[in-house]
Amino acid sequence: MAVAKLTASAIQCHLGTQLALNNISLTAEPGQLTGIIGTNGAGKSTLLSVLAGVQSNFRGHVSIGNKQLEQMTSNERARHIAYLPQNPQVHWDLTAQQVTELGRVPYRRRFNWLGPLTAADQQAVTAAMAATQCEDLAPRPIQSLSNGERMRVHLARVLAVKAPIILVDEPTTGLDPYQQIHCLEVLRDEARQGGTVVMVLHDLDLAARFCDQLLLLHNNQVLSHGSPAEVLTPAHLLTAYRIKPPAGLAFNGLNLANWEKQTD
Amino acid sequence: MHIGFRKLLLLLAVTTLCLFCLSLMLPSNILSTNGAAPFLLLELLNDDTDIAQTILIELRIPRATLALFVGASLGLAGAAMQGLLRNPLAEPGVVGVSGSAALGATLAFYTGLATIAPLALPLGGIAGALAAVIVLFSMAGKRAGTTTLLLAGIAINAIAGALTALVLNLSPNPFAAMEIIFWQMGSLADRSLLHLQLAGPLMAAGWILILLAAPATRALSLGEVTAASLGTNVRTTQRQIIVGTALCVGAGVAVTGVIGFVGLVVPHLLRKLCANDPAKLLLASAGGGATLLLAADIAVRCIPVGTELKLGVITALLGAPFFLYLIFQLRTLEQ
Amino acid sequence: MGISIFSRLGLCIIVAVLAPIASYGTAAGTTEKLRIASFNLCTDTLLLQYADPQQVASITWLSSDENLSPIATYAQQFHRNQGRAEDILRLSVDLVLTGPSTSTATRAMLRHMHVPTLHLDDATSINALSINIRRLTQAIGQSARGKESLLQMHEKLTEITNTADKTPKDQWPYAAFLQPNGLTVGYGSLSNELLNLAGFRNSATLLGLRTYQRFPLESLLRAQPDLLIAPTDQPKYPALAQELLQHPALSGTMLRHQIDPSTLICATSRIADVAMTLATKRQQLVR
Repeated sequence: MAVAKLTASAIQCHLGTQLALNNISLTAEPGQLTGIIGTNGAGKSTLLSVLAGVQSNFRGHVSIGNKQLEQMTSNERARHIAYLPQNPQVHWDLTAQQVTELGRVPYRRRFNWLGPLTAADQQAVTAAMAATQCEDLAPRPIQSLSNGERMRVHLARVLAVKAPIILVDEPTTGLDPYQQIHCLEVLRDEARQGGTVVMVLHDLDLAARFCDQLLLLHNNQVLSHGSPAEVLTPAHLLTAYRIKPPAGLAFNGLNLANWEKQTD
Repeated sequence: MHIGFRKLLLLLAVTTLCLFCLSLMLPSNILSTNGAAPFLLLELLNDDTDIAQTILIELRIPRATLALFVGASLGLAGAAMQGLLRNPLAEPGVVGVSGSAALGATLAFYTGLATIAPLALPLGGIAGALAAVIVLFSMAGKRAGTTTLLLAGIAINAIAGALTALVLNLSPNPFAAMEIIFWQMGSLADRSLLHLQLAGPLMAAGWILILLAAPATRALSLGEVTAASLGTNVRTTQRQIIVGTALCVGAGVAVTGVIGFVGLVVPHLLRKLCANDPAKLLLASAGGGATLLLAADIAVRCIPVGTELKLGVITALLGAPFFLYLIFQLRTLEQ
Repeated sequence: MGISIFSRLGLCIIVAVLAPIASYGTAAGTTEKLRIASFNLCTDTLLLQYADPQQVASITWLSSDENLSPIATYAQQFHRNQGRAEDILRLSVDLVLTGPSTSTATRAMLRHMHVPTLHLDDATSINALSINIRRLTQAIGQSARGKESLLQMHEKLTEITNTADKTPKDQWPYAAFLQPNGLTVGYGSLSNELLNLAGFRNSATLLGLRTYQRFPLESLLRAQPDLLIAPTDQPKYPALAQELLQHPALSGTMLRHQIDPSTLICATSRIADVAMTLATKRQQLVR
């Protein structure tokens, strides 16, 4: 897989009249899982949409490697960045297979939309479904699947794009613990294979466990960035989330290392 | 029932062709005391007075071709609007696009504009249709549900209907006021080659625009944001569908009046056969619409019911109960 | 106090004697001073033809339309009504002429207002027309004019019959009426009678079509009438009704006779002229 570094510098974004992002910069390296955390309204989703190239109303630059996003055609960009927004929807009664195949849209030739998928497309789809373990869900309509199964299919769609950069917005919403861990493991595997993965997460435990670097947003600005240990300090958590560790206990940092996924 | 897409298209094409030929050849039922006229083909073969030829060229061919064109346009526009608004109840007649087209056309015709410049007739219809689609899209485009869409349609239909009646009543020509029946119920009777020439190319232009947007409708099934991330130019797609729909529906209504429900029934029936693929559904709906309208027109012309029934009555008799059924289905889904 | 009983008696006698004389006098001059309103286009036309201008209290707005009335210009000087009882409230109207298009509600209101009315149905035959003209002219006090007009009309009609050739009916040429919206005339209509009088057979009756039924263009083409009688060219303002008459399918070799629609919408004594024109056309055809 091609590798690419994602860089954002001095991002300023307004949503309507409100300032959503104030001078944000970040660098996401290939092979790494970068997590964006912060309270509701801190601007996490907006930042991710700017990185994905689907938000046009911002100042600053986003680059993939050495090339700026604005200089790419939309098709080029689509092949480099795979994006999964929050609460993904499917409007028609498509099957899991069909949804995953939509990940190959950037590769379809313009006037050949009636033809079948190419061999390369087929292979990408099969590999993606295997990686997310939803081959047996393939013929079923996505609207009949459970939350966890649906998220696997959406992830498969993202993987099918075979893009070097993967951006995912709160993939673990509404999933039970098994599914949450599974989902993040898939993303971590992608990163380990050379992908650049950036995620917006709500759950601090999961963020601490899976991410290589974190970006903590507060009041539309970067409050802290670095490794989880550097970012998730009592001082930062107090400022951003207004929470404090129980009094009297020595603070050992968040420690989920002993938790394991239950396999049957 | 699983039938491949190519086979489906072939089936629709063959059916349309057969119905087209039937429409040309079948005798009209006339209240004649010396029996019904024979198949036109027979007449053509022993024709020494050119009458059969005149009937074929000036009456039957325009009528059948318009049925084909308008049917295809209505089916295509229905599927396109459903893809654009992502709602299975969107249809030019139901949501007021046809009604507005009728208003535009009546304004162009009864003010005498179309007498000076014949092209003003379909252009007026297109302008009316465009206004309605734009209003609908701005109201119900983003995240509005079925209720908003249907309410907007009711409002647009009410305004367009009232204004059309006003235009007709204000016309100094005493026949104008009664012609509201034609505009609101639609008819293909006695349309001429001139009507085909006026509306045909514009409808074809609409088809091209909509089909250009076809592949993008697939990505749009995942929502506008995801579609954009997959490289789709959402704005362009929306504009193509809006203008394409206005061209198809506007030009068609200008020469036939409002024929409703074709764009509702056809996509719904064919959706499963196209495996829910919105792009394939566009093509299939065009074929299905042509088939439906040709069949309905043959029924109207050849079945004896005294004076000829208006085409829109037939499509409404079929489509309105279907519409109710769809609403019930959606309600149970939402619950 | 006041008038003594003898004076009162005397007054009564005087009034009793003079009243009949006075009313006789007014009766003699009554019909001439009668003010008549008309609520129907066809009764308008008849009224305007036979009444003195000062007798006409009000006519419908339709009479001022050139497309509908043969005397539109003359009609424009009179008060216009919309066919409603309230329109004539302020005018002193002694008689109201109504027709089939006057609504029952209006007629009931006129009765309620105690206004005398005369109802004339549309004439469906020459005989019916004669009766209408007689009744109307009698009611408005112009019997003489009516009689003279009817006499002239019958003279013209007899002349047509006398100068007609003696070919049997099954060799007569065919004619068809095509009115706006493709409507035609059939059995039992005045136009049909005129057609027969002029020596034509009606194509519509061949197909069993009745008056105000559509003559399908295909059937018209197949029937191949020798003469197609259609209204004159496009009116000032367009409607689909007249568009049909310009259909390219009709542009063929069928002989067309343009007729001013206002001459046939309402039957008047001038139908004799229409019949004469048709008879002349027939002679041209047969030659």
